Amino acid sequence: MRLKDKVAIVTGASQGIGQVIATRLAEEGAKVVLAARTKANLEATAQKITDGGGTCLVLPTDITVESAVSQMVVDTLSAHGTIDILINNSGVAGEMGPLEEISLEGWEACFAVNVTGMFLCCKHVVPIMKEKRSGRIVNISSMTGKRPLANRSPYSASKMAVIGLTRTLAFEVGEYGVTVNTVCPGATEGERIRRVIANEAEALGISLEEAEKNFTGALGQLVESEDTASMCVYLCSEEGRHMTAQDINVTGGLCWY
Amino acid sequence: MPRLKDKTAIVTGAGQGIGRAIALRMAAEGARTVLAARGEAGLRETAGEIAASGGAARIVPTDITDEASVRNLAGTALSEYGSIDILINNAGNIGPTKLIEDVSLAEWEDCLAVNMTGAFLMTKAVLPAMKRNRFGRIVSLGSVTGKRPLPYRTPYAAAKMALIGFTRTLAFEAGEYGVTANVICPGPTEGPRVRRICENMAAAENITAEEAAASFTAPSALKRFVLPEDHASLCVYLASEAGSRITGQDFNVSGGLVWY
Repeated sequence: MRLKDKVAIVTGASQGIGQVIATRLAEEGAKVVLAARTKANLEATAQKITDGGGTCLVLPTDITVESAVSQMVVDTLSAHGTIDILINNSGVAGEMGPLEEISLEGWEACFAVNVTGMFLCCKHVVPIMKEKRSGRIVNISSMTGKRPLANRSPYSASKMAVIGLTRTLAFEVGEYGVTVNTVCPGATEGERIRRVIANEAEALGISLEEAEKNFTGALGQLVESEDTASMCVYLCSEEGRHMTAQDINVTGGLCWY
Repeated sequence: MPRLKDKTAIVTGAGQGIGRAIALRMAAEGARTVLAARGEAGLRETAGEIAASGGAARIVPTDITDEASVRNLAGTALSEYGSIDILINNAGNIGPTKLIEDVSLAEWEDCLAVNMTGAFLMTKAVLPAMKRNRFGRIVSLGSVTGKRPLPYRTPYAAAKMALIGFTRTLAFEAGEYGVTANVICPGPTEGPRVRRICENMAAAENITAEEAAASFTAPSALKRFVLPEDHASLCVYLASEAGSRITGQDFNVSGGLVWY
């Protein structure tokens, strides 16, 4: 177990990649704090972790509200006494369409979760990590933005903002033994990407196989949530101690910069 | 559960430093290691350490700049273990520490021969076996040098950046055969080599070796040298199941000295 007794907060832990990350951290021995807006959805992740013999705490949290974030940190501290790991995974796909048709509300809603929520979580967790002179922060971004994706300007801008936040925070907290990295997943296997591929195939009048090729890289396959979770474990473990300020692509070779 | 059980791994430059650390970790994770370098003495020490902890190692003294020697290495690995699953292109040469106009053509060619042509020859020699098996993991050791300008080291910087272009292209040629190719770019790594580099730099720039060392650590986020084991850990990760969908990448293991 590579993360034995580490206290880890995972935001967006109720589904998809976040759920898999939380489960993997628990398997590696971490005491996981599950955050997301809706309690009911978090319970599913909690059940999986408990079934696997892991330890977790459910804290329904709207990460766009500062008082909710500070409450999440207070509750984590009162349950476990410390915070070792923060996985900022919460994200939204944002409004889609040509930039000139994106509403201001849609733009702001995307940034509120993907960037401001991450800022607030970092802001309230970093003092604890600095004080104990150790900590690991992993921010989940995307290859979108690195790789242009038409009709997704709010999402791509917000995900690239995550990289800037990561690099700068890494230099602010490095001397306190805290590392900060970004993981950029590629198109990840699941219902959501299958729906996207089907829509693309229909829109372009091509086969599903052809449409899938737009989402795969050198290896010709989609990635799995487990691939992203494995990288999070690595970065949070002793093995990842000297990597910081990086953005790491887990995309099957679709993106290399 | 060992993460590289029964995989055959060739490690070049395995007689010392980072290469030795990588070979030891691979063996500890269950890989059957084939250790290459020019000098036999260093290889024997590495193999001895591996054997002492119950691992498998075969040494093959090799000049990776010589195609016949490289073919012999790949042939020995295949006949000994039946497959080549992992190649770690680690052998390198720091090259001269001089201004461009003072670097001789021979020094330039010697630096590129080991750092780049050697990796090309090794990759060329093992790829057919990997493609046949529809499995392969190639990790080449680049450097933060070149990404980050380092005066007096143009041959080294050029050679190490060349490895990145080589790897990205290789990843796309070999991906459909289940072969991944990645680069690890170490930052200044604790050991005799970095101390020698600091001394060379001190002499070239008329500063102390301590000042030279600080010029490497001060601009990093973590303010320290990294360790050979950090690179070994990432090699294991990329060669293991966890790294199966990562290819064409260059990873900085530099304490945050570079981020691009």
